[in-house]
Amino acid sequence: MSSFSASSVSKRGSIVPPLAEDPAFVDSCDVLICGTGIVESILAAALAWQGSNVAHLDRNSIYGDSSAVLNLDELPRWVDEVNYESAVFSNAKLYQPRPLDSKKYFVDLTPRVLFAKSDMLQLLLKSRVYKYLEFRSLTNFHTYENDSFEKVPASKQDIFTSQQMSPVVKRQLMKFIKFTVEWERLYNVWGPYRDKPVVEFMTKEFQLEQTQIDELVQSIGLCSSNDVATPVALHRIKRYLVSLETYGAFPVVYSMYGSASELSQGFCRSAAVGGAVYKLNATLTGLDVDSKTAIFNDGSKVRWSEKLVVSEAQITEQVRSKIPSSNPEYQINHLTVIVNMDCKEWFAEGEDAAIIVFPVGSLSSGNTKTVQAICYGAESGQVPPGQCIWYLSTVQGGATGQRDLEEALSKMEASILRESTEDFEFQVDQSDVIFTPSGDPVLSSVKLGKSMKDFVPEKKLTYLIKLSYNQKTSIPPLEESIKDVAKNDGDESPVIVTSGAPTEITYDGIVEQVKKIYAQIVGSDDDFFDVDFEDDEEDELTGMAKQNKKQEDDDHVPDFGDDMEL
Amino acid sequence: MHNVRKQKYSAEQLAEKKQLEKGKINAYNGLSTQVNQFRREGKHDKEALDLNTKLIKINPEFYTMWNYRREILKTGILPNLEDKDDFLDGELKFVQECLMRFPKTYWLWNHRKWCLETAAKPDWKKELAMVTYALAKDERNFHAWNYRRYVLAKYEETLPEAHRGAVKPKEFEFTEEKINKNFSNFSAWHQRSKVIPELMEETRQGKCTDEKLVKRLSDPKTFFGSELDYVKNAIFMDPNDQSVWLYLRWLLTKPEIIYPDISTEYHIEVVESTIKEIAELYEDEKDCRHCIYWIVFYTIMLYELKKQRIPEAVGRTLTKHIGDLKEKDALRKGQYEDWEKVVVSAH
Repeated sequence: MSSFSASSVSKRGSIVPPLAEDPAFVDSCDVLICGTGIVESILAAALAWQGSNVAHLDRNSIYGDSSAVLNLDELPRWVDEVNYESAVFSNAKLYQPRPLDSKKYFVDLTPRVLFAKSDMLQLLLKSRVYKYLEFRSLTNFHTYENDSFEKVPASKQDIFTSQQMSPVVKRQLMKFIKFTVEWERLYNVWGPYRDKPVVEFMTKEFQLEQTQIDELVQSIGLCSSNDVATPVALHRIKRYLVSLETYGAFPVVYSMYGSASELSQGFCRSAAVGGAVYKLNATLTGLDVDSKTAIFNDGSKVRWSEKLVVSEAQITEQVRSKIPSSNPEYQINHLTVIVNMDCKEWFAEGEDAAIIVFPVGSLSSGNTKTVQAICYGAESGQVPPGQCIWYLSTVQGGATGQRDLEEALSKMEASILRESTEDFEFQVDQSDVIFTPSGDPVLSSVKLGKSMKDFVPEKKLTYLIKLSYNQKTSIPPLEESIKDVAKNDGDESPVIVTSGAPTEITYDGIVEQVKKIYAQIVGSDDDFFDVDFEDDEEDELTGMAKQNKKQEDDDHVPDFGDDMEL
Repeated sequence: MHNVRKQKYSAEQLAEKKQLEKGKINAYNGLSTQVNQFRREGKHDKEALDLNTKLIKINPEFYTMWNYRREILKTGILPNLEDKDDFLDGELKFVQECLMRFPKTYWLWNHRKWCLETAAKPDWKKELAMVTYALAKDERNFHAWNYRRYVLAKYEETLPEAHRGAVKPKEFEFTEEKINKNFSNFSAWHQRSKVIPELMEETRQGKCTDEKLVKRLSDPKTFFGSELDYVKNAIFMDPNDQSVWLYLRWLLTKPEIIYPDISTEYHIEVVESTIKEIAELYEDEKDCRHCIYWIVFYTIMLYELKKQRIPEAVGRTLTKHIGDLKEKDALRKGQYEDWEKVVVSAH
């Protein structure tokens, strides 16, 4: 009953929540939660700390549900499974030309990065769950334009020192950035563009050029196109800008060994400390809504008194008819590859991660949505040294989306080969060398240009893994606020179906979703994680005061001046 | 279980917290009474030092305690030591720990100075690294910048003659690095305006060893132009930042520092084109008080340079601007009224 992901065992066993020993599992609870995805796991912890009795189960042998992190043994099994039956994933294809040391690889099904200023990070701090995790910074956001990857100038320093922009463009950009940081209270500026595409607003009000708009909206804002409604885009651009000033000159951080499932495990552990009980490999096989009883594949029954919360992926055919129907209609196409290069060229100094964005229309496939790629090197704990994992995704569904991803992948391949070849050699003979008036030999630039054009890299990029799949969610892309996230028949229904993850490579929208479900169960979200974890910082005076108090208690002589050794 | 709020603190816990706080206050008061008592008694031994350390760690702003500390060290501690420098090294470490928490406390920087000046062989290079580190943590800490100037001068003295010419060019680059990082930095621009004249002087005397910089400086007109472009770039990006305007003023009011042979005609030309640029910027940034302020400032300066009276039409525009300024910036009313007199006399 206690088989969990290799990442947990080998790297940080401490994070894994203690599992209830079968068969002494509880037979009743206040809230029964099925699925250990990020939404359900935060919910479990919030409810446990609020004082509810929580039983939390998952049909899989690992945590994370649809956001799991898999090693290379688990990956082919997952591909078979989801192609056979899955409400969330479909069309999974895995290519692995040769065997690899499976325990050294962790493939994240829904990779996400965490903005330095975001409700999720705040929650991680407040709930102390951050203590179970390891984070690293990610500075570089690149935009693919004119056949090359440009680092997005977003900080004042980048703009100031940029050689590419004229002073006028720099000023417009700065003006826009200053505006965006406080856009909410400047309704008079953006109000007329409330329902209009942000590209119109930025062109007319700030005279920004296409390149800057692409970078701001699609790279910094991670929007799927420049047609996103103005307030939505402004909110998202601001998210980056304020994050940049939070912990240092990096906008996002990421958790090592995987994203959402690592956070899930952290919250499950917190929930367990708060009193929740856990069980894996527990498939929901029967449901009696009237008596509020759930039946699992091992024959066990659990009764709940308040609500059953279940994720889409946990609903089996046997129980589907008894659960309010949800309709995951929005798609995300994924393409994940592991390459035999470290890709340092893309990363900021001291880091091992970058985000690359292919704006709308930048690919020869004529993409109408952006393609986003997160790249991690070995520091992420997901691949061995000298290798890199690239997670490409787009909200463009179907074959069109797949084509866009393939196209973006080939651009990344070409780029990394070009950039990593500082030591390339080419044939030169006497006639290619000319001499300057001062007598220094230089290479004829004509020859050099030609050689670069015909340049065939010595190194070749090898794909160690190539994985593609389609994911469905019921949350539409880029929705400003999440409405009706939990499908149910009103608050009276004893069953709540969570609605998958937002189509985002960030965690935005998740905490909001959990809070809504929490309020549905508890009545309001006023006391959401309203817990005092009591670890007041120990400082000099606290120590002294405590010591002082102790002495007072000991001998009632409030004179400590002579003996204050701490 | 609906709407049941989890109790944050029980009454008992609250009382305990209060108690702890009260304890903290008592502890501090007791400690400072004791240390003051020691001082009155003229106690200058290890015990006094330890208690002084304890108090300073909690409240380094208590400057009397730093004076007392030096008394203790001078009278009671250092005379009995064989290796004074070793002890002072520890003292520097102690101050550094305090600085990490209180980087803007005068007495801490002051005490470092005292330690180094008291030491037989102070390590100025290490000190320079320390202050560089402090500026990496906060590039706008003017305490650190002031202290840096002091350390640099001391450090340079310790170098052999042949190597001294490398210090100023490095410092010039250092200011650029800091300004690039965040140009809203009075101290860095100020440091730049200090180091440039020194560099010019060293170049003239053939002391400067940075060949690239020597080359740049030996063409003062181009160098002057590049400094103007550098700061104007920043002004264009953020006209509401005051620090950049001040550097521009330094360049334009004392151009002879960088460009000794500047002709009045050229000076007039540069000021004129600057006014034009600021006016363009102002068209775009109607709310920017700095733009109006400097348009008036440079226009008055321009006619002084030209040795002409301000033409009536120009005077009228300026009067309007000055009226604006008086309204928006009442604190400097006096200055604006003075300007008004200059401008009105032209009418």
